[in-house]
Amino acid sequence: MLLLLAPLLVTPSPGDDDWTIQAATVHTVSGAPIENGFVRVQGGKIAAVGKGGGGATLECAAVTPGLIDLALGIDTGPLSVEQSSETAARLRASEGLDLFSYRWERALRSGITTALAQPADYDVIGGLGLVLKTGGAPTLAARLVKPEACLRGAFGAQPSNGNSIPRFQEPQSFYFRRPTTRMGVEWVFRKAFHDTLQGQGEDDPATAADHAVLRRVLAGELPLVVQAKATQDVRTAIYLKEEFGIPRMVLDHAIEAWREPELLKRSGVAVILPPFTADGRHADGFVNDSYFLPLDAARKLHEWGVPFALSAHEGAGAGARLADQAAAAQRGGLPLAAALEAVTLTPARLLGVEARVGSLEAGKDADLVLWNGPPLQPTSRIIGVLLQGRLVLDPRSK
Amino acid sequence: MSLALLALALAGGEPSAPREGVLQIQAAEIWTSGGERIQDGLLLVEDGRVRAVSKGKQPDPGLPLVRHAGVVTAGLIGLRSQAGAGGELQDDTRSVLPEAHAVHAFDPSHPDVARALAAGITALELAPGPGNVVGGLACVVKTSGGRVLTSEASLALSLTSAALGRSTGPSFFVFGAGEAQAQPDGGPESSERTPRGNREPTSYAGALALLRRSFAAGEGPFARARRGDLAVTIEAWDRHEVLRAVELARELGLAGAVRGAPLAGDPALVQALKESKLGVIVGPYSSGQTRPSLESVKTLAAAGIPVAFALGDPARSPQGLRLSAARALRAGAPAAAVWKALTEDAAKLAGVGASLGTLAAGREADFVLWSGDPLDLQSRVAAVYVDGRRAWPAQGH
Repeated sequence: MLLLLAPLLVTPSPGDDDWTIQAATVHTVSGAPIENGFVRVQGGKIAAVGKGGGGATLECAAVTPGLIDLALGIDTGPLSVEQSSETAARLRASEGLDLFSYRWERALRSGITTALAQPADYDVIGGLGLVLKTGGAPTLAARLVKPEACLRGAFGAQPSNGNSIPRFQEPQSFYFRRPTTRMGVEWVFRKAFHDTLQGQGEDDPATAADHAVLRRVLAGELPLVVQAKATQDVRTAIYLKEEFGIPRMVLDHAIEAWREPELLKRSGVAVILPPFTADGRHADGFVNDSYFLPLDAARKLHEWGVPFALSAHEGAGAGARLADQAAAAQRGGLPLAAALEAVTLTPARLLGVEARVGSLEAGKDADLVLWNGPPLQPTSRIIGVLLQGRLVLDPRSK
Repeated sequence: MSLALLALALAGGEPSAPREGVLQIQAAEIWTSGGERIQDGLLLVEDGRVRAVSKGKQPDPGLPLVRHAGVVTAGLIGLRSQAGAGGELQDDTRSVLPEAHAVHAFDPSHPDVARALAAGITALELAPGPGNVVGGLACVVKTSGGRVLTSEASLALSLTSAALGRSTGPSFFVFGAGEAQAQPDGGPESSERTPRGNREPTSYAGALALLRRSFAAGEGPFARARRGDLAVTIEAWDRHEVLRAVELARELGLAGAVRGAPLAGDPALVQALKESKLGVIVGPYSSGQTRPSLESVKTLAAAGIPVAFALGDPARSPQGLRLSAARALRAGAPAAAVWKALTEDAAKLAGVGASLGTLAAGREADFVLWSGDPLDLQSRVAAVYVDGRRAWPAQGH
């Protein structure tokens, strides 16, 4: 009887998290920008996007989707990756996260609402990455977007750094092992994929679990996101992609990818660019390597049709903001629309989360960035951020 | 026997024949548990156990009697002690040592143990160090008489950085920065770490994988912990480490305590702990402790989560246990909660809640005669009784 008395229809009353944002320009990313448009937010989702509109609760010069960084690098450092083996495909970055770190809040206030978290690059194959929101309650359940979004690996000199051959000491440390060179790193990658295809060593449950993950990579279910900074690392990664037929590969921190246009176009890899530096030089503190990234690298990738994302590498301690990277890329000749896509929809697509984030469309998460001028310009500032409809940076506060 | 004695006690007046191991304590106030305080109380002890605690009852003239003008309470319990164990509680040779027994490092005649006794501590929990993912079995021992209450009180686990990236031995070129934390003493509350040891695991994910593998094997202490027959204590310091520990305990069905957790009062942690079968062992609190850290006792107690203080001796004086309690009191924790943390909850979290921590019929007769309120730092220990016998000051003093 009591059940019958309960209201059959529950109409949501306008809550604290319902907004109508009016902007001189609404940058939807998925479609053309809308002049004098609005975005209506209800229950944490985008309810409508359109022209005109009244009853604004928030106003700004421009509104864009929340930014997405695939190389935010907020991890627990060495504790985020199991170094007792060079390959740990089965292990999850989600189990080593520190969601209490103040750096999440800093990223969120700089406009980054979604990020990829991965193990740090101390292994050749480090483990599974996840996509999560940068704010909300500090629990995985509250922030998770996609639990197993990619497999992380690293080429180059970094994963072999620290390994050595026992010359004068007893080999009591697991760091006495391969790889110790770039050749060795490639060998470990090749062996992992080769053993997976052959089903070798799967009596060991850990190896079997690693291979299960690698099979998902080979089937195209999981993208393989690999660090490949130098030209030779970009080439090695692409050769491996082609040899094993890895469908989805993303080259992260690909400082010198711009040197290999033919390989990039031929192989269909995607690229994550690291922050730009004032003089284009990138020194590597880990190893004795140096690289060069010109300001027009992003423009080149755009012209060649190579999918690419920009990144701030917040965790690297550079303090670079993602929005500033998009501004720098424009100085190098990248059009605004492409710059915006490189920090929103493209990274969402690379990780397969574009159904939820990456553009301003009805039904997507209400992750919005409000600007006081044209977005992604050195002269503009982020004045408001909404995360799933919750106002985390209030444009009305001075 | 006990029924006969009870009948006698009820009858009163009639003097009984003096018997070995029987003792009466008449005190201005007896604290039986966290909240209960009996004015003009009479504590009857026989064969090392509490027989009865009664109010306003005349003592039996035929039995030995100690009159005390102050407060009588259950003895304090010192958790995570290293008294007399001299660095023998951290074995770096392996990451998983389920059958290592801390009791083998216990020297009952060591001066550290006597110092704890003089501070009103009647039982110590000696636990393997936090440097191993599975450290071994903690024991609970008496501070007088050398009695081992249990050599398998709880299973020591660690999910903190001290257990990650550790080295198997001292070396000049490989070391774990986390090792500096092997003897946690109240801080740091958050830190950057760069372990570079040579022992598995080096990561949180690796540690969890190792623990799951160990518990899945389902033998010995692991099986007992999963069945609920053995408490666990999980070292977890940073807030994310605490959440990881809670999640693991939920996954494997473990009960016991999180140890460390200076910021356990964080709302996200309180919520998670409340839904778990874990309490928190905090402290020892130093003068440099931050306010949110000191307030965690208040917050945890208000949420009904058992909380107790670590002793941290011999690096710190065992007298510091009451100092930790005083700091929690000053940060707003209610006196009843703080007293429980020193006794009843400490016993519960050490896995000996059925024997120690309160003065009730059938419990171990470990108690302290205080000059006044034991939570007042001006009050002194007048006498300490262990197993029903006066242990401090020694007889004849």
